[in-house]
Amino acid sequence: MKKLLRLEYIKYTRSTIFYIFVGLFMVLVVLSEISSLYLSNKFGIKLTFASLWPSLINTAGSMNIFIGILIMVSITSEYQNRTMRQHIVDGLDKKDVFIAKHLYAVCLAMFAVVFVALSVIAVGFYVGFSTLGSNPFDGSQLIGRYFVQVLGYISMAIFFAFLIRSTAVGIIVYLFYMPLESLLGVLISYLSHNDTLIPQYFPKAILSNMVTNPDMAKLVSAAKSASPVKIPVALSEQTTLIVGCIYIIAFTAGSYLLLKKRDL
Amino acid sequence: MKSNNPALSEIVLSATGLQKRFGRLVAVNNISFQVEKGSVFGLLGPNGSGKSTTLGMLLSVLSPDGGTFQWFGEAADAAQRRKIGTMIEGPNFYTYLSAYNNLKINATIKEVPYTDIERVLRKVGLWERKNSKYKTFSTGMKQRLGIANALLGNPKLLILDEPTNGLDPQGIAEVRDLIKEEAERGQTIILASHLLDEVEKVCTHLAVLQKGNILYQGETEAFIKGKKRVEISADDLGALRQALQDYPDIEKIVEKDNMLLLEVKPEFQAQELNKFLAQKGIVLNHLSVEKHALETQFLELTSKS
Repeated sequence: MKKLLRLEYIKYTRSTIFYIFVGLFMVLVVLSEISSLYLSNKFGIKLTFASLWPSLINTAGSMNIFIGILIMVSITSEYQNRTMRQHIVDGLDKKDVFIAKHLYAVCLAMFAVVFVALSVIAVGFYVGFSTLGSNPFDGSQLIGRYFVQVLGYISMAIFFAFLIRSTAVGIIVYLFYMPLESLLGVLISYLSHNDTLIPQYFPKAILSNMVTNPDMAKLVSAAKSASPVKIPVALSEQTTLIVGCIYIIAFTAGSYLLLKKRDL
Repeated sequence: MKSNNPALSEIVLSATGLQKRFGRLVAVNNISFQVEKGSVFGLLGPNGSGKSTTLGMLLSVLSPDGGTFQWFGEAADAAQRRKIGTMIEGPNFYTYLSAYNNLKINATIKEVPYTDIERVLRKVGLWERKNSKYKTFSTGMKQRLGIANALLGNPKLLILDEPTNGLDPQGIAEVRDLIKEEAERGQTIILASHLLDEVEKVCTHLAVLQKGNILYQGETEAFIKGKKRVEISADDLGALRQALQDYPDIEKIVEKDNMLLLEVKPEFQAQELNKFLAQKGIVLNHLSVEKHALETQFLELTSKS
């Protein structure tokens, strides 16, 4: 385990792409949190720590895609430069390669979680404890769900990387999958006259609903009750979490089978 | 493939019935061979003959469709591969990492101390460029770094696939010298090449591959010495030809440019033939024995199949 971590450390701490994507993630998370804060002020929404955590984590969640792309590039470039093949030849097992990539992925997910958590606390300091309440960790339990969300996006990216093995095509498929899934969801909802929950069980839908913005949830709920059209109720938090974990396991198992069964 | 040399008794690699298909194409067709310790074993064949596919299966990057193999008398696994230094299908490195850091990765995999990196980089003449990024290297330097990578940790076996590919004549000579140096100190080497000259100069044993089949395997010397060609001429070519019909060591006679070209058996001796013809009253005005070069043998063998 230590050996595999060291390998990944040598590779990625000297990679410019690594720093570009991690930097982009950090900058965009901060920018998105600032804009979220600005909008809350503009619409006169009273913020407390209990609403700040889900609100900012939800906003930061849209930047997980950068972490996904980073991990995808790191795997597909190993295929394209034949370095993964060289590792096997030099004495790693395919299982070792798989574990190494997942250790790297978990480290990235943990980094994202820590960074987002710190940024929320920093925002808390900026807004002021007198406004938000005395306990800065009120609502912070959602960070666990955010961790599952990041892992979900990463495991999906890893699956696409092992499936497609080409950096350019992999990124395109990964990016296009998101709107495609939404379109498919809309189509299914239309055909079923909004009488189905199926689109809510799709991977991207499950992952993006892992942490919901409470203010947004209130608006959606109000719109639903006012709408003459029947809108299905959202999945419960527990269901979302369980299905999210099932997707992570499925993507991880699929990635392992792809690596194990195919020639390098 | 058994050697007469008693020192070459330990089997380093034993492959039996290896097979690999890519769709309808049979890339490797039920081949078996052994490599003994201390030998330099050449896998010789034209491009697409199955050399790299064979090595790919032996090094677990391709799954065989049939057959088994053992490294060092044990089941092939990652621990066995760590005892092997390999460069197959070109050097494969991280372009953004330095030479030193690229080797550090292999040293970590093989659990070799990082101090060995200096030894191998010096050996291939790249120590002064240890901090240069791989992408700044010339083709020759990349190839030498690939060999340094293979030499890391003093492996029990070296596997080099087309190690002189893309090199200029000086680079080719340097790489061949490195291989010879390793061979001279008793290193077991498997060398895959389509260059006959390379195999002839370096290998003690060889297997000739074509379309996934082994056409020959054995000692290189025996392969080259298998047949000789003799040019012979006398004033009366007809009488000479008639006399040769009774000589036992001749397999084939062809007349060309006022001379007879003879395909002879390995035991053929020129002085015996001369004596035989003299006894028949034929005086030769030309006799030359040409040892078949590997190229001639190879072309003959592959054209038959």
